[in-house]
Amino acid sequence: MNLLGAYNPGSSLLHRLDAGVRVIVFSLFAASILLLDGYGFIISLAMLLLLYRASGVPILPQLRSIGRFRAFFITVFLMNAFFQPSSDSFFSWWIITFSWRGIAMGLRMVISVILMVVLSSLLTAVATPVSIADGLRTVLHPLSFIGIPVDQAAMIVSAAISFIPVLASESESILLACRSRGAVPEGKNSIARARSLVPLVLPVFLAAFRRADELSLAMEARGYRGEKGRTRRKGMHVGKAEIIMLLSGGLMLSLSIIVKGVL
Amino acid sequence: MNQTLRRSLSTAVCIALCTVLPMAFHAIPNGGVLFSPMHLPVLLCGIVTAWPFGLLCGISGPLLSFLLTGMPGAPMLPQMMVELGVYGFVSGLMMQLVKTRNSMAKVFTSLVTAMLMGRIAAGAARAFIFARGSYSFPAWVTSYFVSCFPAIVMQLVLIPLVYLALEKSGFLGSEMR
Repeated sequence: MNLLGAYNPGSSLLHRLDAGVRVIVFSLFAASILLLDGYGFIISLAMLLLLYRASGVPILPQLRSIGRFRAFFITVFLMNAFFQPSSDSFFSWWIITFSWRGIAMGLRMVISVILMVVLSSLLTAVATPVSIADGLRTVLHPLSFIGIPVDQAAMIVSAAISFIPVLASESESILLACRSRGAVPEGKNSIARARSLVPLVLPVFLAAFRRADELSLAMEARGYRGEKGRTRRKGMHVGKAEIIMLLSGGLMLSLSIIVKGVL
Repeated sequence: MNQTLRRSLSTAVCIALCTVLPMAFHAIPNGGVLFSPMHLPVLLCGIVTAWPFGLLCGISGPLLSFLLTGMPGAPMLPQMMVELGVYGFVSGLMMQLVKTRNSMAKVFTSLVTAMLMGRIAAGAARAFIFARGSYSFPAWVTSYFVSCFPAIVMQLVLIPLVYLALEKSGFLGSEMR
């Protein structure tokens, strides 16, 4: 099953894009989706279908995964349909107002959110988390000139990504050890249940902080002196594919602005 | 020892725990919903490191978890980022602002203030941005205090315990505090 957020390996145009350019291109497409509504949704949908086609990532499993959030979408729709103040309501009682305007607004919100989710899941399908972190580092780098430590933040996120498998296996071992001793969360009241989680969570945290300590010692011993002045093995690469995708994103955003003005 | 590097890597493990802990808690029936496991590393990160690191952990923790596991769901992601960002920021800030020799009093004050401020910020974000016009005070009380009561208890029990254990193990030297 292709879950939302899962990386789907491939060699398509979107997979091969430079990390920084990919973040910019997806931001342009996201802005287009946010701008468009009404008949504009057809343009957004066409754009998404084209992007999925170009990436080679199947869209149907992604749409099926969105079904997991149906309760959320139904709530958003109903809240808008029943609580939107309107003069043309066909049912009104106390704070409840049921109107066409509310229904339309609810539908608009739900469709926008679904389209955004489909787009963001495409980004995570064509790029690994490390590549997305790299892309964000490149895009946000200019902020470091006004004192925001973007490079340090990117280093922290990259380190976090590499810590995940290690900590996951460690926490699994601890959970299994707890279970083998019969220490599973039980008890009817919440304080008892919370207390019974102590043998599970406490060792996980201590092991995690021990690893952080060890890594900081190792990095310092190897001469790490912070992100300032650090060079990179791979710089930003803007080739033909990147220019084509940037132009497509820019064109899509311009089209959305024009359509928004006309509609 | 380079304290900024140590703080950075402590933040990195807390961000990683934002992904790992929910996976472990999902092994317990209804554990993810009842115990809000992602809140633990963020609150602890703010308390152990400092507010900029806590803020980063609160924002990037749920984002990374979403990118890797699809949890929390995309519709919930922005409001969780607001809530956890405020948790990390306020817990770190309060540790700097509260001046007392009793470290447990400091931790409890920071923890309670952060938990309260985070919930207020998340409620405000839902009321004015993410669910504008369709969010009420009773809904806020139910979702942030009643349904997650076990999580509140667990955070108040576990975080001071972890802090105490880190203090005893020598991880929190005077330069880290």
